[in-house]
Amino acid sequence: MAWTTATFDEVLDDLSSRFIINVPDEELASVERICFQIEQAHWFYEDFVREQNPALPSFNLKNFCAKFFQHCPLLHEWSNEHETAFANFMEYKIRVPVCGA
Amino acid sequence: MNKAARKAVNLSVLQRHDPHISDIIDSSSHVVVYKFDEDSQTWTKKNVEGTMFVFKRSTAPYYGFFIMNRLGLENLMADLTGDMALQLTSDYIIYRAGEDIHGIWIFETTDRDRIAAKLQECCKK
Repeated sequence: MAWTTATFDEVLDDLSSRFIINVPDEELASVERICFQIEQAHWFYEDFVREQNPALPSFNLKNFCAKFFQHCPLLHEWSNEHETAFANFMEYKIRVPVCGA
Repeated sequence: MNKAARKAVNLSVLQRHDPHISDIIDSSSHVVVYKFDEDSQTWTKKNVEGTMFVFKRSTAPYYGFFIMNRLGLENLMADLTGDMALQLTSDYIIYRAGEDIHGIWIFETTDRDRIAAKLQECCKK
């Protein structure tokens, strides 16, 4: 894939294939696990993809998650029933300092 | 998201890497690639792990596999032809890639025999 010319939607397709839709079912069974997968996708996006294509927008984890949920039908269906749990988890993530952040 | 929808997303993503890929014939959710170090006779990680796809192409070579790396931008792709020397052990699918010897470890135990058989079958076609 030519990251340098990819659109943001193409990048999100790639990331959903790479990090979400093909993981073993048990990885999609809880909010924490899904968030962990999205966090991995976020690192990949900021560290590798944006380095190849700096014109792509930068996101914090929370906004990146929102974009991902919007884009990925698998998460879209799922997000409604777990919205509150997801929000709580994100709040927790944002409050807890991370190494190097 | 049903199986067909997942496959459609995966196929369109693979086609951005190789536009001649026409179908996904099998996949396994997570595999880890090792490289054999001949000096120390040990396996070391190649820094490639993620979903493995066995695919069909519309032009020669007609079969291959693709490992979509979660650890970096470099994916692993190989043709499956009669020249491919595959060796199957209980732990690894082993093959020669130029000078290197690679071993693929499949996380899902239930996928191991099926994927190995599929790779062999594609090499014979």
